Amino acid sequence: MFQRITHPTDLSADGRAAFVLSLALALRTGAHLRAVHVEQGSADWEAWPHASELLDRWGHARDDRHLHLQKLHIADGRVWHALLDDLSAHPPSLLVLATSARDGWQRFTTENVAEPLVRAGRVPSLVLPHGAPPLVDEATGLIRLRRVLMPVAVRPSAARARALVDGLAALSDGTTLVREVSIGEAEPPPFRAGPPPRGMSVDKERISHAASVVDTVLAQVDELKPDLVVLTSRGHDGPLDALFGSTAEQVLRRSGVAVLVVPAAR
Amino acid sequence: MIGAVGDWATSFLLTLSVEVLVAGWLWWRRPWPRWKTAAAVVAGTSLTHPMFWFVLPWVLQDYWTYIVVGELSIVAVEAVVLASALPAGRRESLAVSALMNGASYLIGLTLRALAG
Repeated sequence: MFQRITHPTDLSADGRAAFVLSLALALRTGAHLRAVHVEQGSADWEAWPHASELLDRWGHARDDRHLHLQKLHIADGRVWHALLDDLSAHPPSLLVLATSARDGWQRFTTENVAEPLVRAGRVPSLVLPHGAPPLVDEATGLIRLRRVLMPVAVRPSAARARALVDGLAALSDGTTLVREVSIGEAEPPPFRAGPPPRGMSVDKERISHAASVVDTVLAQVDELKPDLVVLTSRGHDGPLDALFGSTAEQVLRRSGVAVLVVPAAR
Repeated sequence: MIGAVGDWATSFLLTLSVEVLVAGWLWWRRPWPRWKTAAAVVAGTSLTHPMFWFVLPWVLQDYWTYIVVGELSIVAVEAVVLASALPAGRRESLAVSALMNGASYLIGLTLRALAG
């Protein structure tokens, strides 16, 4: 499902859940995990959770591990540029990262790495706001996706997002309920001819435009309490998005749950 | 009287043109038909422009009070109309209303200066 997962980290305690998730995903999928830290000066990896301790706790014998973990420190003050260079040189199939998800005026007074990286990286990105409910049980290593919210529209097509959701649901422990909310005046074409894959149930809902897309998605988040919101994004879609952020960025800042941003096909 | 109405009609059409163009550009790739953006702008401006032109000068005699209070009220009222008519959200509607009215005001000032 994923060949290479890149996990940019600031080595802070707030980013622990994102590392644990990237480790669990790499372990389950056999992906190469590349943890990248960019900071002027040296890196204090000792403060970081040790993969071997987690794997021991999760019951994986040392000789039974097919995990390829690479820790990389880039001494550069321009965090965003260095990470983007790394993504270009080693394009991952998934980016997993944490974010402080600042909204309002704080967005303009503090450096935001996650949003521009997700936008420019153009790879599926699983972003965990600080304090969001974790997707992995750290005691067992089990991935828990109980409920997934996936807003869809005619454009951009959500076909790639749906395929990723199917894959993630297959990795999850227990049944995953996927609520596909079709937002807009026109209904997107059906994706599945047959029933959903095993371990997954799909609940479809149609909402024509009454409120903004962001408000509609946030209302759905309040109602469903999903573990994950999956959004297909074209990035910034005009001058207003430069001011307020794309739909995916606004949902990421305001929902308080993990968001999988899937770049729309160009 | 005909002259005053003619001046108003010219100003109204110019305002409408600028505002429809600015709002259309800002919301070009939004997921609703573009004619709805144009219709919402026309509705909002049709509501505010006659009030600004014919009623407000009787209420606010001081020029700058008239301009500041009038323009702020227009931005607020048109933002409400846009947010009610389009699935754009309040923040975006307020930003679009402010930008299209700002553009319309600046273009009006420029044309007036050029015309002497």
